[in-house]
Amino acid sequence: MVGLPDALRIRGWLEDALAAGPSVVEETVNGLVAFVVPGRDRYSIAQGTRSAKAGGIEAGATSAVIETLDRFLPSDPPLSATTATILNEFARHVRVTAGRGEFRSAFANLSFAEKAKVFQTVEGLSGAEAGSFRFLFGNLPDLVAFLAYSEAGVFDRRRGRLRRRPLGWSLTGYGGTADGHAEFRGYLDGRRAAEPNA
Amino acid sequence: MAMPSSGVIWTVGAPPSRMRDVIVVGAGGGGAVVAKELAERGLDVLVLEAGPRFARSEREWRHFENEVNNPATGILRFGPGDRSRPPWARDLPQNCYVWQTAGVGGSTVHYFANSPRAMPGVFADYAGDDAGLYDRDHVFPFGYAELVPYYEWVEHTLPVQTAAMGRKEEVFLHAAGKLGLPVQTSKDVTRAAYRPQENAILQPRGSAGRTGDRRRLVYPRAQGCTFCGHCIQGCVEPIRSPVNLRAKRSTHASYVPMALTADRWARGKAVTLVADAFAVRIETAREGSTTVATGVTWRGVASGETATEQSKVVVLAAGAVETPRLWLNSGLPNPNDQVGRGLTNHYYDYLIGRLPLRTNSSKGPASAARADFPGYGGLENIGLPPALQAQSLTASDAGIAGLYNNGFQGGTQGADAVGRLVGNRLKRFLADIDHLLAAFVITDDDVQAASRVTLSTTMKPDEHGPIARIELPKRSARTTRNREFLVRRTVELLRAAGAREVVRLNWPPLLVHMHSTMRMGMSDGDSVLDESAEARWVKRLFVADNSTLANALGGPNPTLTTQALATRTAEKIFERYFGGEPWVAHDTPVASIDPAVTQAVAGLPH
Repeated sequence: MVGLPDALRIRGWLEDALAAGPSVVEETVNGLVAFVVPGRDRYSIAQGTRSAKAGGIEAGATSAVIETLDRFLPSDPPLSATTATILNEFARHVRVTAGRGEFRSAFANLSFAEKAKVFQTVEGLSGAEAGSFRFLFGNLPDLVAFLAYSEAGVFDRRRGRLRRRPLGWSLTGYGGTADGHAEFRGYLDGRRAAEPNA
Repeated sequence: MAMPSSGVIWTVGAPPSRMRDVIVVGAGGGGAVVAKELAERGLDVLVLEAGPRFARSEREWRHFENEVNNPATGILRFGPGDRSRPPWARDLPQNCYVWQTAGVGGSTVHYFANSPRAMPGVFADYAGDDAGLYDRDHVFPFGYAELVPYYEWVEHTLPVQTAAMGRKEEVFLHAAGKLGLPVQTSKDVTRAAYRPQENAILQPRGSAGRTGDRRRLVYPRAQGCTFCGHCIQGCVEPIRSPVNLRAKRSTHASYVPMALTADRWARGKAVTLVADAFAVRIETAREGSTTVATGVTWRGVASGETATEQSKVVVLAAGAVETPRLWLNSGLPNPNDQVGRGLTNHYYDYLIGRLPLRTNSSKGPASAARADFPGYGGLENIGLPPALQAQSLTASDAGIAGLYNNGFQGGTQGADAVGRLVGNRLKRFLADIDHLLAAFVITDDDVQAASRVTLSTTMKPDEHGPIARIELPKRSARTTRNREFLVRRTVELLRAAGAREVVRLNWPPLLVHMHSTMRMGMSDGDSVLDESAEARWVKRLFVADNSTLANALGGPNPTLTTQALATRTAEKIFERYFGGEPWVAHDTPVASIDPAVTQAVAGLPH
């Protein structure tokens, strides 16, 4: 995914990405997590999709997204800062006043529909930088969803165990990890072996 | 360098210079097969694996999805064993997802173990009425019947067995029957039909599949598949089972233990396995007008030191991306410009329905039922734990369902929505995971020259040289037709199962099945390998991974065919360069679950 620094340079955003502080990155990723898996947090409320149940931010997905991006491809600026910069720049493209609002992140200030418009814009790009942007933005929603529904936010890696039940398990009614289930229901028509050749 | 009695070299230091019979690059689905077969015949085989050994997998692997499957930090990723270091990069200039595991067993560690045979229509001698439906420009350069004994050999060795059903398989297979499809009862595919998978998963015995009580899931009380639902996290079930008796037959659990103990269960010679050893150059020499392989140079992933060993034969089995990369980074000849070209990946799609009845989709093997449509491809049921299910529902090349579609040209084919789900719609759809029924569409996609692996010129080389770039252009008309046909049939099946809401994701390229980048073919002009999988331009150099495949097999999952082909390739090597006789036609294979193997592997760490 390199190509991204050049892509940022083409757009004139490289300086912004290099200057993006942790708080802006975190706010932007919060806005992204709330977009994919909304909850009862203020980012979800701000985008107009308050949910009856907790969402990705409460699941602890934000730090997991930042960590995954930055460890996937260590770079300067960090991939999370690059991502946040692109999201915020296109947010201002979708709504020029997006920089003004509750959050310092323009993307986080958008409505749900406006955030979708950001993705639509990036996925529809053409030009030299389009491939890198499409790879990144094509994978962002599924990365966020994966982490939000996983144990990432509650896993104690040092001890190798969960601190509490992951939110994603509750949201889906998942029974949890196991070494087995009483799920065996026999063989189709009682056949335990196929005929070797037709 | 420590060398335990098992023959495993744990770290790369400065190995003694010696002439091996064979060096195999890659201990995944194909390389482990060549290694075991030749070690059984007494050859001196060195296996180099770029990823970790997974020597204590029962402790190393977990059931947690992020811990295991995170693409940057997961235990099963394409990267070094030291998880504090980043994964190995690829240049991917489009929306796509590459899913590979580096390490002993390769991607068979996380695979579903589906082991169908290829469609007969993709072989040279096929003369069926439907021949025109296949990619006949890129056929295997021999007949289907020639491969059948090798299929049987592998099916016995792994072994491959008819899948047991869980609830989701019952629902899927019952719905397939309602479509009017017949049941296929043979291993050979002869017509459009449905069936339980032929899987490299041991059938449940004892308390396996009959309890969730951990105390009763300990070997030998439980044997075979326990229906835990964690195929993708690497199978270590039943608890405390010998490594060769684990339910899922990754090569980590089957061919590799056999190769490491070939001196014990057979009159062979145990292979030397070096993990964390990234091959960076194929060594060659000139013999008259011919280029011949003479050895391999590799870099210790942890130490950074390089080492070279010589061999009479080299076998590349690093996968459909890394094998062409290694070829190109070694400066090997490529006169017809076919190296890396023709990548096929089954142009997956993902469809999922919400049902009023229980499917228990988070339990049991990841996929244990399928339907095949000769000339088009196939579809198979899928069950996933929550994070991977959420990931699957949010990947699309057709935008966000109901909001925009990126100019998507395909149809809904009867689905209620096309595109990724996000927001509260995603949460609603996932609200009860065990009421979902999902299917992979596995398309018979064309070999297209522009679909290729090459060396990146835009990303920096890593410590192993220029990195691979994967380019995936627009699909051919036949490929698109096949995919749309299969999506339509999948929607019909999900409806027949009772789905009230069906979503077509229109996945971007998911690179799980990756094949045909070094493919064998009919002539010098159309392929890299000859009919024995030896490189046309470099003698004593063979290829034995999915890149060898001539095409997309008509849609069936590739591992079994790659393993059958690797067995055939081992015979060719033994005959051509070691004066041996072929064995498959007259010997009886030893199963990897044979008591003699269990006894032999008892001393191996696992």
